[in-house]
Amino acid sequence: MASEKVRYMADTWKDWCPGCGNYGIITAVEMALKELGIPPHKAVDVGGIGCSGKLPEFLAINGVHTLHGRPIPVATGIKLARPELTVLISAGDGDTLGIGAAHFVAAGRRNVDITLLLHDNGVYGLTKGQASPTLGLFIKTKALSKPNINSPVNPILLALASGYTFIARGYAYHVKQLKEIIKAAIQHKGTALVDILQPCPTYNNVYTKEWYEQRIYYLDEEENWNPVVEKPEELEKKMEQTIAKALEWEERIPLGILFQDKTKPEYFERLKIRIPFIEDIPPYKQPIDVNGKPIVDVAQIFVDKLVI
Amino acid sequence: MVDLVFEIGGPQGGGIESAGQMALRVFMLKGYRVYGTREYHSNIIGKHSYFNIRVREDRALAPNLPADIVVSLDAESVFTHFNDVGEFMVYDTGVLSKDIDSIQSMSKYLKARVKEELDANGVPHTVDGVIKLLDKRGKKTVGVPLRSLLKTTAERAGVSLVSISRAINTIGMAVGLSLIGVELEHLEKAIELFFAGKQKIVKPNVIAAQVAYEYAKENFSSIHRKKMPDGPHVNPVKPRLVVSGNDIVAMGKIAGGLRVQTYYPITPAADESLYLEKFEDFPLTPEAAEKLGLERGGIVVVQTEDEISALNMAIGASLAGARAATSTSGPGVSLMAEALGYAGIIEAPVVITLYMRGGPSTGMPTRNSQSDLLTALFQGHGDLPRIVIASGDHEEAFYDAIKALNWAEKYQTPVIHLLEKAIANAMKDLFNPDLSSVVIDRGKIERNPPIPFPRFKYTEDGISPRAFLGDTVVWYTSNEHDQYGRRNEDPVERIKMQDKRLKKFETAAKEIPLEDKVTLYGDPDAKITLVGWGSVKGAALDAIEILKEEGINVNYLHLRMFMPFPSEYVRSVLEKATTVIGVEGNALAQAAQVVRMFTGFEIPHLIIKYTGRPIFVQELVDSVKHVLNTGDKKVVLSLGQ
Amino acid sequence: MNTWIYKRAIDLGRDGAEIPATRICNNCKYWRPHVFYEGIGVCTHTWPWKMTFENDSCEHFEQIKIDKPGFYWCATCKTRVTPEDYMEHLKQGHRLYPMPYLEPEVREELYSVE
Ligand SMILES: Cc1ncc(C[n+]2csc(CCOP(=O)(O)OP(=O)(O)O)c2C)c(N)n1
Ligand code: SF4
Ligand SMILES: [Zn+2]
Ligand SMILES: [Zn+2]
Repeated sequence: MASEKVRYMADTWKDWCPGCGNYGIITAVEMALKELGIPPHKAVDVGGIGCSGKLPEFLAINGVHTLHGRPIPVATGIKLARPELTVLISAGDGDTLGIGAAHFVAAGRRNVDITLLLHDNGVYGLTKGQASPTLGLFIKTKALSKPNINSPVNPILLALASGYTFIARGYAYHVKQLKEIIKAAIQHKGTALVDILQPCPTYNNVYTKEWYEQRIYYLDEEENWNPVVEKPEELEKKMEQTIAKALEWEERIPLGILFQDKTKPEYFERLKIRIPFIEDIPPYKQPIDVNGKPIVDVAQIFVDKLVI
Repeated sequence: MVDLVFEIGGPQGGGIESAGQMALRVFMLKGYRVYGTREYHSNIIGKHSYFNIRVREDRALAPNLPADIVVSLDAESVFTHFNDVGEFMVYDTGVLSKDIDSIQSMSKYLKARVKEELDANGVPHTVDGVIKLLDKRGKKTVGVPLRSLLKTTAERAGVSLVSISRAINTIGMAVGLSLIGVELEHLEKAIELFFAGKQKIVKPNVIAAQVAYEYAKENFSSIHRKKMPDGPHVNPVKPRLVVSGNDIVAMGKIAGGLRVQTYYPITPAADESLYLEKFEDFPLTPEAAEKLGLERGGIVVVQTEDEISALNMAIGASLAGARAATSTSGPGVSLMAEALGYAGIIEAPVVITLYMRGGPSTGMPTRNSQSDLLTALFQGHGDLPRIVIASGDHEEAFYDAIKALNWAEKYQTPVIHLLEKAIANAMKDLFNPDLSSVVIDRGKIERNPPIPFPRFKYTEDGISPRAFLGDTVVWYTSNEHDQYGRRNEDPVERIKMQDKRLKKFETAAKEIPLEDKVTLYGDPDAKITLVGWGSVKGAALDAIEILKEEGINVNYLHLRMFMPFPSEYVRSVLEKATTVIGVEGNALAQAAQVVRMFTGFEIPHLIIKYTGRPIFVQELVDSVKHVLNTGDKKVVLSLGQ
Repeated sequence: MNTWIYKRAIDLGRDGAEIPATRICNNCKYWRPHVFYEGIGVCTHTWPWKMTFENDSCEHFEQIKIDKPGFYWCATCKTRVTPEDYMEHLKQGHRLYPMPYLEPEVREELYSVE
């Protein structure tokens, strides 16, 4: 790979609406990968279905556009087979907290080393602006004929409850800060969530650029903010402070790293208990034949079934 | 020729599983082929369950009734199986006075039918009444004082005997085995084999067996059969295993190079994944180890949050270069529908092992069926071909599991491997599979791919070379796409891309040999042809033999591959016959419909079964004769509890 | 209360057999009838537990008392009975115990069933 000319952005035309927060997100992703020096063929972006899920189409790294709600399992499968890859997920709030919520929760329990970029725009963009799981109760966007009668789910709290070991929040138009957060998420060993507040100027006229920018602030600018759990006994306290921050919304919205648990083993650490060599010789790397011939003998393995 | 059925029944969890497992080993040690069908309810503990063990010299592939011997370890078994008795009924004298109405675990419908029959024969609704009825019918009823034999066992064992269920089962089974002339030493060996390493369990069970044999010798010598001859496989040259269908598929997958298996627990599929999990870190053969400089292989087995995740995760693993599969049954595969189409459009190699059980919906989770054929063929939206193969027995299942992995990669497609509860749960003896003829074929893989990579390049045979994520930059999308995997809706390109995907299946249809798709058993010139698939095979092979002995020449067309379907060959065979009878385990005669769809041939007679029980040999024989005699278009089978 | 009912049940015996209301396992508070198999159980007085039969007896015998509403095992019906209906079973002469005996290794005999 010629390092100078490495391109992370594809020459495909980005077909998002003008003013969409996704432009900021994709730029931050590009910058993060570039700064981390991850070659495009060693990175994969796994997209859901939605405006957010189109990211892989516009990037020049490996791209796997999946089904609505299913990028998490696909990304997990990729990482399990080939852990050397940097695996990102670009998914909407509908993808992750609506149709794919079971996978969102399960991802926290597994703690596979993947980075979930949650494009949190409060609406179902690609289907004309219906309320997404993060839109507040009784909010009526212009796209809705009536106010939303469902309460929102809090992605930070759900992630915390599900066992995510890295939880952060970014803002789509603060590309530089977002890039730093994404870099930290990628570098974290374990499942990382970045909840990205993403204005959708077309359908969400409530959570607008102006609305967010009046409220957001960065936690790392606060004195004494330390979200990192270094020892198991710190967990409870750190979770409590994360919960408090996660509950801030109407007046002020905190951005940055809200929680990071360095004590919980990543999935391959867990797998190694079962298959000691699995991280060194992961599934994709394992030979399965010698010159097209199987390399096992049934009676040698399944001795428990022998009758002799 | 020995063709024996040994049936043993009792409460679920009450030791029947161990007893059946030991009995299978006994008959194997005695030199026979065995086939053990398990039946049980969707219940953890306490409802009725049983093992039907078929024992033959050459081929044991299907259950049969009547049973030479029925061992009933409780009253419910007596009431449930007295009509299965061919020669012996072994029962516990301690439950003679038990009234059928006092058995709460028993189905009220079965109770009503049994009472009606007992009434018609003028005997009371008790175990005693049933025994009297069997006596009247000339059956040999063998009462065993379980408690007193148990007491003797405990005294002799000299340990606190708390594995009561197992000891009881051993006693019942031992009495049964002694009645049909099987030597005690085989049972002793079988106990040691089955409880290998658990000396605490082995000893009391061996003593229980001895006590039972002594008792039988003293008390039943007049009705004892003479010594059972040894079967042809007393000292087999090759190692012999006893495996369930789930086990054998797991073995096939390991031999076939599977490296990632995902699953969400479901009956009757979960045991396959559990067995894979047990052997997720396995040894390579010494020769391979030397060549590769690697001692062991490893399979990552992931229990996912649901079946949707299971298939999607397997797809992800396959894109990154691992052979990947998932395993499920009806409800799970229904959830996989969308991901199946995804694998289809992104041409991801993935195997879905689909164990059929009684549907629709939750249906009859622990019972057999062949009712997911249409689902396997047509599930998922869009023009979505796939490869669908159905195995007819354990051996087929082993090689099919390997072939499925090959085909998935070779044709870059989801492969649905159909099995049934009847095979999944049946225990079968098996000679150590011969892998010399087995080939691992990963298809077209580009090892030095350019960046970016035209993953969906148009080719002559429709198959584009594949590159793994991480070896280059590859793009996949669930949308229609161009040769680079970029979303594309251009009408001209759309035709090309859709045609390319379809072309692969034409290639597969040409390349996959006929013997992997369909087999004609018996006299190719027979005028009567049975058409079946899956577990019908076992019953059909026996049936055509029995019918031949009775002077009726019948052959059996065993369908294995449903997509791509061997239309021409099937049509030619069916058109040659004067009478064609479809045999299958579902209510819609799904395979018959598929045959008509692909060949235009309408199968005129159907023998179908959808009670959730497997097809027993004798009922198939009888129903074929019935069709031949009456010309009936449809016979619905119902034998078995 | 109502131990007399229980005693009457014992007097009636099981399945019509004559089992006196005496110091037998069947009537002992340490005894657990086998969950499936009739007339067999386990004495839990001393560890390791020991298999006994319903009309065995030993020096540790203590009369079982079913005198409080509770969840009992009805060995006659082979079912768990609730505080509401346990009396009904007693009145009909059924034999109640706090628990039946189920082998610890029962899991090895079970199947995946749904
Ligand atoms: C789609 C689907 N997948 C799998 C199953 C099989 N299945 C039946 S019950 C069950 C799990 C039961 O666990 P839980 O919900 O905790 O209930 P419990 O038995 O523990 O009360 C599963 C996986 C199913 N019925 N449907
Ligand atoms: S939850 Fe199910 S398995 Fe567990 S004790 Fe109850 S019935 Fe049995
Ligand atoms: Zn006692
Ligand atoms: Zn009762």
